[in-house]
Amino acid sequence: MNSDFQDTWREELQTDDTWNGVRMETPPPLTARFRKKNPWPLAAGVAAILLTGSSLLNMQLAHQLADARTNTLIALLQQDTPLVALASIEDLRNRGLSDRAMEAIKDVVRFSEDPNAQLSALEALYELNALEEEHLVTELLSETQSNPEFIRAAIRAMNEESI
Amino acid sequence: MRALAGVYLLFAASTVLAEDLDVRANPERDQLRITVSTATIELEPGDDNFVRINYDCVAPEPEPGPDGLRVVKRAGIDPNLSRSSDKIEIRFREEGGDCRLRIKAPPTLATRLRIDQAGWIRIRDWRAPLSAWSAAGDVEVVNQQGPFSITAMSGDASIEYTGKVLETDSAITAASGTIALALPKQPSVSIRARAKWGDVMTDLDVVFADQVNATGAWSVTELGDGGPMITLRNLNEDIRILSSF
Repeated sequence: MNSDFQDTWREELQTDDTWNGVRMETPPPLTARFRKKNPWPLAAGVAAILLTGSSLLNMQLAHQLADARTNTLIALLQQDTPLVALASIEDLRNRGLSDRAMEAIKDVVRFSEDPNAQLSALEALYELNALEEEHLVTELLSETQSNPEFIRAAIRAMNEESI
Repeated sequence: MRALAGVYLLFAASTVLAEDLDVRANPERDQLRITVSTATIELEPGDDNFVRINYDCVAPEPEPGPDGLRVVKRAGIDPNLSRSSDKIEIRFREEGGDCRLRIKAPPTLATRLRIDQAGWIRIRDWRAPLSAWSAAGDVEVVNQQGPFSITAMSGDASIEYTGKVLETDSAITAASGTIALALPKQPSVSIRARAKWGDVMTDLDVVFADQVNATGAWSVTELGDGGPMITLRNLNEDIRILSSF
């Protein structure tokens, strides 16, 4: 009876290969399923991850380079070469200053023999509001070894200007 | 390293010390530093690798001691010379009196001249970085081709810069004297000038803009493509920026 039933269906389908074909059909490959989906969200996600990683790396490198440059400038300031000091102070001033850089600039006022280097350092300190309180000015003046009267007059002139 | 030919001359009221001082220099590496209390200094290029200083100093004759002894040789009257691996430093102390220094040296030797009390400085045809200042006296620099830091605390400062390319920032400061900067070759530089109680004047065909910051009002401009900054500061007198003297 079972065989009769199959025969009936064979006749209806008119071929034996239909069943074989159905049995032999392989499932669609996995990659084909992906292809059918929109690839852009995935690509965007991967790109975002890569970009974020790259940006972080770049920022880290930029920080390292800036730190290295600041260290170099501080080292240059510590040499007793007035013309190098002039350029280094200008460069440091444009970078914003760490406490260490600020101290290095104060040291130029304290220890440099060259009045122009001392004045450049002094101006940088004023522009960065590092001498807003009077005791800081007094302290710096008391530690200034070269040209103290000249530096005192320059400070007085700067204060008059800002009034 | 050092050749001395000294002459001590005794007058009734003063001691004259006249000498030649020669030091071999390495212009690639050395820095020449001369500090003197009261003096006039002339610096010009020499034709070899020696720093040759001809000086004469006049010091007042010291009073005899309370025991009546006469001073034959006074302490501290000789200049102090020190030579390190990269510096030639000569210091004339106050006891040495009023000195006249004529210096010839390689013009590529980085040089710093300093007068602590009074006297003028004249420099010509220098190619290396130059730093010079006088506490009271004029500083005159002609045909300077390297960067410079010049200060006349009480006197005029005049500098003729003839280089085409300024290597690094430079500056001139005066407190009570005129500043004159001549730029006959119109190098590519930035200039900022501030004369607190004087005028900033020029015959250059450039426009100066005002820039105000925490330290005052500056007049700023650029020549050519801009470049290293020349800062001019004067407290009481004028600043002149000229195409030539």
